[in-house]
Amino acid sequence: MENPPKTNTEKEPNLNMRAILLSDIGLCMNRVVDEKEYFKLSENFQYDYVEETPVSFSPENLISFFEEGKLVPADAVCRTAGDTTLFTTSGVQKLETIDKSDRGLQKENLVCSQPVIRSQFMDKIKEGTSSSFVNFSVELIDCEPDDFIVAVNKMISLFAKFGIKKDELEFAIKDDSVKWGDKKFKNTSIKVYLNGVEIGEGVYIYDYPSLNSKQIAVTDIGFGIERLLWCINNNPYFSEFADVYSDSNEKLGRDEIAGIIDPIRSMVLIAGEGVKGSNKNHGYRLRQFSKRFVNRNKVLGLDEKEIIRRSLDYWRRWGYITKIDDNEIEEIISLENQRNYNMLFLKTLKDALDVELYVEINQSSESFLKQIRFSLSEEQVGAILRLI
Amino acid sequence: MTKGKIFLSGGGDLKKSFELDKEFFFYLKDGSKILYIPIALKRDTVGFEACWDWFSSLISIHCEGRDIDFGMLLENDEIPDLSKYDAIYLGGGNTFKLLNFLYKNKLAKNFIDYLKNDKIIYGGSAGAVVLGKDIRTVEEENDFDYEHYEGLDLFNGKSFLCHYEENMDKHIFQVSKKIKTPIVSLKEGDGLIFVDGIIKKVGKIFVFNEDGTKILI
Repeated sequence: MENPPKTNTEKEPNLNMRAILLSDIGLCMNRVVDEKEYFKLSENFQYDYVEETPVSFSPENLISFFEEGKLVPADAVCRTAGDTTLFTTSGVQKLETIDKSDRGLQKENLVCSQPVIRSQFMDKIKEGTSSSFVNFSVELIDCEPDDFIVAVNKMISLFAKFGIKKDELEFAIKDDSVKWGDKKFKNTSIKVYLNGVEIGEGVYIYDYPSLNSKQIAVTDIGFGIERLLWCINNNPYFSEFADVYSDSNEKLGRDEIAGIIDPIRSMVLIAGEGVKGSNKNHGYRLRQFSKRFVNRNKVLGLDEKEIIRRSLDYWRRWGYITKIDDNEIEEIISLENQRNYNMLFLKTLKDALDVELYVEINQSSESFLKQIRFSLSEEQVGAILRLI
Repeated sequence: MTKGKIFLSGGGDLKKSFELDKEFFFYLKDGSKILYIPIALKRDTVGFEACWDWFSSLISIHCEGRDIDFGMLLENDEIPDLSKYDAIYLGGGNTFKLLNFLYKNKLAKNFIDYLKNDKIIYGGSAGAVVLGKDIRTVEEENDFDYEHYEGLDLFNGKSFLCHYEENMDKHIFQVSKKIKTPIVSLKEGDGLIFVDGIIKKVGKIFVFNEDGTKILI
């Protein structure tokens, strides 16, 4: 059987985008580390540095910077069945949403501030790395290679506008074959680093496979808001919790404090869409985050309600829309945390005192402890409570 | 034979490997934690998030009513304290990439110590092959001039080949002669379970010997 003819939207995957990036943006070799090449902006690159510290950018001023794009609402954080991932992981997944809609993918430029969840980081939380963040993204659908270069230049000029010095930036370019579920495509990416920390990425997808069998070229520009601000301002990573960091710095370091706040921030996004803790799908992820919060909050005992409230305020500022009211969100998170606290109690009891009890964990911790006291002495209960 | 519990899967999707996976999860108590290592795969951020989803569904299928948690180890991560995990799950993909990661991070020796503490290792496809003597049973996967090919050799000098189909027999005999080890061949959905020195089979398992004999075990 013959291959179908190429449509006019197909781009040649062997287009030398790497060479185009180097020449059209004006990058020159800076250093090689572990066989990976890092580039810097050449001397004659027009870099309009603006000294502006500290920076506080809002969704509005970022959106106005990418004015040629149409502002679109963020996707739900919990994705629907059949999508590549259970949770929205990147702004570029908007492509899947549009592709599945009646309209389908067509030539347009979009701007979006997308709250995302990256579960793979839930055990690696430190300042600069979180399991959820706002992925500000620009998507140019059915674009040309030149559009990609213009968009990358725009991202660099944004960094200049926000007070990043030219010689602090480095770039790495990579050609890749990507697999998203059953979708396969090729891309070239350019990552931007500020003093060694990745702060943004531009990706040119040559052949995104749309549902109507067309292969579409897409430019994806994306950066994490929290990390960018953290890099620029040298504030705590979760800046809306700056007082928590300063109140707790004698007991724990910044990384550990971020590790306590992070799971609740992610739980807010999941519970905000009406998902309760369970052993399946989105609910299982809520449970995983909750276990990490309960385990990490032993030392500080931070008030979960306060973290929920501030997280909700933060996400809403960036366009997140909850599907249930705030009390319901708080109740879902609180119930799940109590369940996992009860479970931690039983596990600690087994590990520390070699006592195995079977008590229902799906109840409030108050009721759970009442039941526990039927079987354990007050001294034993106290000993376990001190450990957790 | 090494101590501990080892599960070797010939590969395949959740449906195909159901029987073997069921046995693996049978040994995990309520509250257990697994370290999932999908290093053999080549994925971007979205792709590794899909790995997290896949492993979550595996747990959901087999652990109704039990609380099993997991963490994931990726290429540039700091190696965690293995003793905090009750089982290690080595996923499929490029066998050479996985083995070289294990050597680079000194995990090969750590795994043997880990098993001695009565823990569990599950090897799926590439994850199974690296636990054998020689991974050149899948030499075609060495697409990056990877240095290492000597596996962890947990099974008295036997090597493994996964996704086995009967039309591969001639090729397997040739490889067996070349690498000078018997090759245990596992079809998708089939597998071997080693629990404290006792072997249990799931499906029909063949050993291809250097002398040209093929034996059903």
